[in-house]
This record gives sequence, structure tokens and C-alpha cells, in this order.
Amino acid sequence: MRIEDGMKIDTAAFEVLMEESRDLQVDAMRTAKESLPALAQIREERNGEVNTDEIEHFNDARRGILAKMGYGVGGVATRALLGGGFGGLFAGLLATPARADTALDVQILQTASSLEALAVATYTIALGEGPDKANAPAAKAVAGIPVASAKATVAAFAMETRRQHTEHKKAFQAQTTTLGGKSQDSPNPKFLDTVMKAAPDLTTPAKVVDLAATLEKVATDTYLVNLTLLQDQKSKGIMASVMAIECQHLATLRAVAALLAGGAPELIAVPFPAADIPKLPAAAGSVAFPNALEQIMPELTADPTSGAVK
Amino acid sequence: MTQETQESMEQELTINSLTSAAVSRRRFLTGTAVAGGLAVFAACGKDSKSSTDAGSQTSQPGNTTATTAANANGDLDVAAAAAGLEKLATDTYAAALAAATANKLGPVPPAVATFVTTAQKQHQEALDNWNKVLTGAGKPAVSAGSASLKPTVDAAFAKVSTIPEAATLALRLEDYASQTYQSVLPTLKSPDAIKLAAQINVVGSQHQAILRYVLGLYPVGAGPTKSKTGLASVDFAPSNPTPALITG
Repeated sequence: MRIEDGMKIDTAAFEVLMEESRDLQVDAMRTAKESLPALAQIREERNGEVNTDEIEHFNDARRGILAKMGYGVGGVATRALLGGGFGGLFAGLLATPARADTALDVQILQTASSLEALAVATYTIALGEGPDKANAPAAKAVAGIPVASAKATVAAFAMETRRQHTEHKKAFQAQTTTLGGKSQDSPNPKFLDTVMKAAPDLTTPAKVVDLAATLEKVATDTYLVNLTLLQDQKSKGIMASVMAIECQHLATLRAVAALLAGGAPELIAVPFPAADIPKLPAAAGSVAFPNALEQIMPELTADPTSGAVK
Repeated sequence: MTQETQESMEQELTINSLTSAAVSRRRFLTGTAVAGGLAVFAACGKDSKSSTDAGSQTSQPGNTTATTAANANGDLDVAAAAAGLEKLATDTYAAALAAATANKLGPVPPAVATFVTTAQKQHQEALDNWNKVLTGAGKPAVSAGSASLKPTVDAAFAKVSTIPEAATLALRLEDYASQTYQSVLPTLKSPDAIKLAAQINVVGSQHQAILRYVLGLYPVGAGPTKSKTGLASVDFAPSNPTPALITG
């Protein structure tokens, strides 16, 4: 299953999303009305020292989130929310006087942990160590790679990448607790659903690689967006350093996918023999980075709060 | 002091200046609003409300203009430095392509030819994007490679005589650029600047992955470093750009 290269529109699912979207708007407007008094209360507690810059930052950040969710600037929903005082929506997050953005930073880190947890679980299934062990379709697909060196390379990559995602999860969890939040260890619910739906059909190496690439793209894009939202500097540094590794996983998987699609699994090898460099197809020099600027795909970006501990 | 030592110190100074400018801006601007676009953050003081938060240390009433200028200059300093790096990368790939075309590096495998052409084009696009930021803020576009790093890169390129050597130098340069972006990403203020730097850094890191693969290394890692196990050389991308990354 590959959703990176284009979405097929499922009209029934779209209707459900529209319904959810309408519900979201109603909820948001209700929350806006309810939270305005809360903002006033915070102002009172701070003896009038409400930091308008903090509120403005929240507005900027949440406008971005809203736009991503389809509530673009100028849209009916956005006008309604802004007109009602969108900053008020998140007044609860401003309740920490010293570090107004800590609550959001914690949620972002928890969401990042949830994506790492999902990646660990997915690679575990592909390695035949999940609940269905070697009977999982993904594990069978990897085991069925016809060229022994390619099979060993893909398995070793899955193993090493799982280890790295585990390290990344630990880093995000540690930073979450440093900021006073609860550690998240569960997989991201939205993309867990994607994996669960794809799992029965992971019957070929190409499908397994494509799903892994999709998850790496989700992590890359989500962390990229998060960098613009985080306030805590150390959290930003961790997020940036992890993003730069996930995107290398993605690049590798794109190249492997191309070699599989091109019928050249024998060229999947680490270490790659220098004598084989001339055998690599020309596309191998560009397929891993299709654009000069990595393009963010909204449908493959986890909402910053989607993996927050409830 | 040898010329090499002096150059090295100048290069360090450049990087330190880049970082310290961002850090001082951060200290100075605690609580200052983040403007929505680069042109906005760079040029106007519309959003430069002085903070009254107790946590804000130096933003005092009356300092609004200076504060905004510091913010603008800080991010724009990064933009100019990044543009210089991108121009240097573009020029280096162009030189490699010219050398390959002149048959100075031996036979050029198709994948390598595609890589060099693609990487050069992508670094040019990155340069164009940073220059848009600069010119949009009334600053001149960058048209020359990083002056502090160019002699080091040129000296390294002069020693290149094979495709693997050229690929290794490209990997070193990509690593230097990536570590520079990693070091400034947490300090940038404008969301648009952060996004642009991150988007460019993702692609640069991916260039590294393919170069590492072709050079027989594990694809995930930084520069030409090997791990003891032959697997990933790093779990977290490093952020310590020094000229030694180029010279080895």
C-alpha cells in the first residue's frame, strides 16, 4: 500500500470525514465560547500580565493547524473562529505562567513518541517477530525476496531501523518527562489504523517497502511541521536530529523500492560493491529525493496533538 | 600563526557568529511575536510588541525597534550564510560535472551522472529560495560561495581524480551543510525560515544516504564515517560543522 504518490478518493470515507469535520467545527466554536472566560481568569491570575505575544504565537500556530485540517484562512470556519477569539480556544494551554507553550510541546513530543512506537511495531511485524510471527504476510514477503543478498540486506535494514526508532522513541519520551509530561508508549492511533488496514495485503516485498516508506514519510513530514511549532529549544534540536535520520530511512526505502520495481534486487546490497556501481540504473541517482525542497504532504502528517497522552 | 590555522579560526568564527547571533537574538527576544512570513519578520515591526511577561529579560518598552532589527538580522544572517553554503555546493557539483565531462575522473556511471546533475540543480534551487528571502527583505542576493569555506573545498577538490573521490568530497560537503542546518534550526525564529531550512536539510540528508550507499557504506549516517558494526554511523544527526568535516 502506498499513499505517498497519490490519494484515491474513497467517497464513502470522504463523507465520514466531512461529517467529522462539521462536528469538529461545532465543537471548536463551542470551545471558543467556553474558553473566553478562562482567558479572562488567567489574565486576572496574572494580575493583568497576559502576554499578548504568547497568544499571538498560539494563534499563528493553530491557524496553521487549522489550515492543514482544511480550515484555510478566509474560510467560513476560520472566520468564525477568529471572530470569536481563536486564542481563547487554547486558553487552557496558557495556564502555565512561566512557559506557556510547554503543554503543546509535551503533546508534540508525545505524538512523536507515538509515531516511533508505531514504526517499531511495524518493523517488528516485518521481521516476523510480531503477534503472528513468521506467518504475518509482511514477514513472509520479506522472507520471499528471491535474491539472498537482497533478502539479508532488507532484513538487516529493518532490524537496524527498528533499533534506531527505539532510540528515537526513548529520546522523545525522556524529553517529554523533562518538560513535565507523561511518557507516551502507544502507537499513533491514526496511522496505526493505516498499518492495520494494510497488514493483510503486505504480500510482496514492494508492498512492505512502500508501507515502511509511508511511515518514514509521516515521521519526516510531521517532525518538519513540528519544528515550526515547538517552543522549547532542546526539543527542537532533538526533533531536527531525528528528522534527518528518518528522511535517510525514507531515501533508502525509495531507492530499494525503485530497484525492486526495476527488477534489479541483486543491486540491493550493503556494503554495495564498487564494481557494481556502473550497473545501477540512472534513476538510482535521483529517485530518493524527487524535489529540491522536501514536499510536506498533509495527509501524511500527524496532527501535533494526535498522539498526546489522554 | 600559519595560514591554515588562521583560516580555520576564521571559519570557526563564522560558524560561531552564526550561532551566537541566533542565541543572542533568542535571549533578547524572549516573548517577542513570531511574524508570519520571512518578508514580514525581516522588514517590519508590526508584530514587535514588547513583552511584559516576567520571563522576558531584555525586551523593554522603548526597545521595540532594536528588538525587531535584531530578530530580522539574526534570521537573515542565517539565510545569507546558508545561501553561501548552497552556492558553494552548486559550484562544487558543477566543477565535478565539468571534470567528468572532460574525462578527468574516468568513466562516469549513469547513476552518478544523474546524482551530480540532480544534486547541483537542487542546491541551486535551495540557493534561489534563500536569495528570495534575502531580496524580499531588501538585502542583496548571495552570488558567491561561502568565502570562509571555499578555499578548503577548493583545496580538497584539487586532489580529486576519481569518481569515488569526487563522491566522497560531495558527501563531506553535504555533511558539513547538514550539520550547519542542524545547528541553526533550533535557533531560527521565523516559522517560514525554519520550514525552508528543514526542507532543504531533509533533501541534503537524503543526498548523503545515496552517496553513502554508492560508496559501500550503510546508507544512514553522517559523512563518510563508518560504524564499528557496519550499520548506521549515527542515530541522531550531528550538529557540529567544522572544516575538519571537509578535510577529513
